[in-house]
Amino acid sequence: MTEISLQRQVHVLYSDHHGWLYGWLRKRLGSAENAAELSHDTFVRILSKQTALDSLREPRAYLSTIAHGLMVNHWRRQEIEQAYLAALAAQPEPLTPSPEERQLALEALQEIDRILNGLPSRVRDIFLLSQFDGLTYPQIAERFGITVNVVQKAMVRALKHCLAVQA
Amino acid sequence: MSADLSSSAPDSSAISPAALDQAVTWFVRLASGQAGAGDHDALAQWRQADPEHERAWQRVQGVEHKLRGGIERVQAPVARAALSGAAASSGRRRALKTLAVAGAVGTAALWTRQQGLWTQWTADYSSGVGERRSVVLADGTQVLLNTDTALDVHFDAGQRRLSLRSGEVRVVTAADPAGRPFLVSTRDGSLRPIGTRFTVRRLDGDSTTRLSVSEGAVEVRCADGGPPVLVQAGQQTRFSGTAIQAPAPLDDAATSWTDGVLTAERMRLDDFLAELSRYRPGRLRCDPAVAGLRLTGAYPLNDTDRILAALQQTLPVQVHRYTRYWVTVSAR
Repeated sequence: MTEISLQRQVHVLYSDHHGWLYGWLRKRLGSAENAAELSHDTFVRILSKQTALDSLREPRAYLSTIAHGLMVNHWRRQEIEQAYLAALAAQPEPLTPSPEERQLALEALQEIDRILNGLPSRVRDIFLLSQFDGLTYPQIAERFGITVNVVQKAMVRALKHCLAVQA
Repeated sequence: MSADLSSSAPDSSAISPAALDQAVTWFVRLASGQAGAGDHDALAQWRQADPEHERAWQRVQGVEHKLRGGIERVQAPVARAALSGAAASSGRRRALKTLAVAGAVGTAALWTRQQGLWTQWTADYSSGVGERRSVVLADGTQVLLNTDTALDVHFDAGQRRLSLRSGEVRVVTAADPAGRPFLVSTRDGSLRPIGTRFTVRRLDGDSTTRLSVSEGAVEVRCADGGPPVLVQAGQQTRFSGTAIQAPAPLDDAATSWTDGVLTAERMRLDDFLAELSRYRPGRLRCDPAVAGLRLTGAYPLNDTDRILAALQQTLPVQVHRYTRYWVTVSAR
């Protein structure tokens, strides 16, 4: 399918259902601005998917499925941002990155979070302590009161998870 | 963004699961913090034993690069704490935090970027970063689009309406034989010009619209209603969805872009660079140590690299180019 015809199809989808989608999102997000942003992003996502839309039977079900995924991402982003700001504030030497640095940092954190998403939190923490803090397996084992063998197994699991996400 | 990732990952279909398992085992062994030279030699031998081994190893390394590459800009302990903290909080009830936004940075800026792309694709008229574009509408009205602008035009039997989705335009209205009213709207409100020449700029950063009137007069209404305010020739104002500032004398610098010039009069360097960055793709950073330096001058917008070079001549600053898209101005 050509890019032009896809854009035209998305345009039709947009004119017919944008108002409905905006209302759907606004009810769930409670914010007009966020709803406007997420509904725009839903259509951007559809454009980037490059799939034919003319045979769509339930366009609103399709739109709300994509919008729901974006809404979850949106909440997740906010959680990461809060955790990041809390982590900055908790540093012994207070760090004050510039807005640009903060934005880049958040983008990076979101991407890593996305890759690690779905791992149990213990496995995730073990993997992060090893890869980011450079702790040895015995150090990690001691911190959690577990054996080095368990740490190794967690590392294998985390790495396989990352490979599966990347595949 | 799983689509992005899968398209950038190397073709993995052919790597045997067994080789991949072994590569994972190697990686985990070497990451223990207790691996010695012997382990590294053994790994090297394994990688050389079979091209499949090497490919599997490269894939595992790819994960590590992805993580480390992403984390270069975040201090590792902060990153780890943030990611662990976020994981811990994700189990809590979503409903409680839908409206919680910790800072003005980040989320909003990210959205703005993607939204900009969308806006440009679907607008009736748009201009790229650094581009200025002139359009004559069906009724003879002349519109000049400044950099990175998206504009929709709706003309029908009852009205002539422009909606400025993002960016900035200069409008010189034409008289309409049919006498249809002319209206310009932004997210923040609407403008009704009365035989006039004016510029409108939508400022995404603080969600306001700036209006500068050169000729005639323009009536401003907020999106949320309230009484209109009349802005006369030689005046400017700024309005949000809920409030309109009292009109102030027109700052010529605000409209000099229509002549292809960026004008500064005792302007702070950080403000100047923020303005300049509208006309360039990529990021333009100002070191806080020099942010308060002042400059005066008129700079042709057709070559922003030259403007940056000129700054080094007139101010005690240095321009660092990490890439074409990443420039920082700091003390010399």
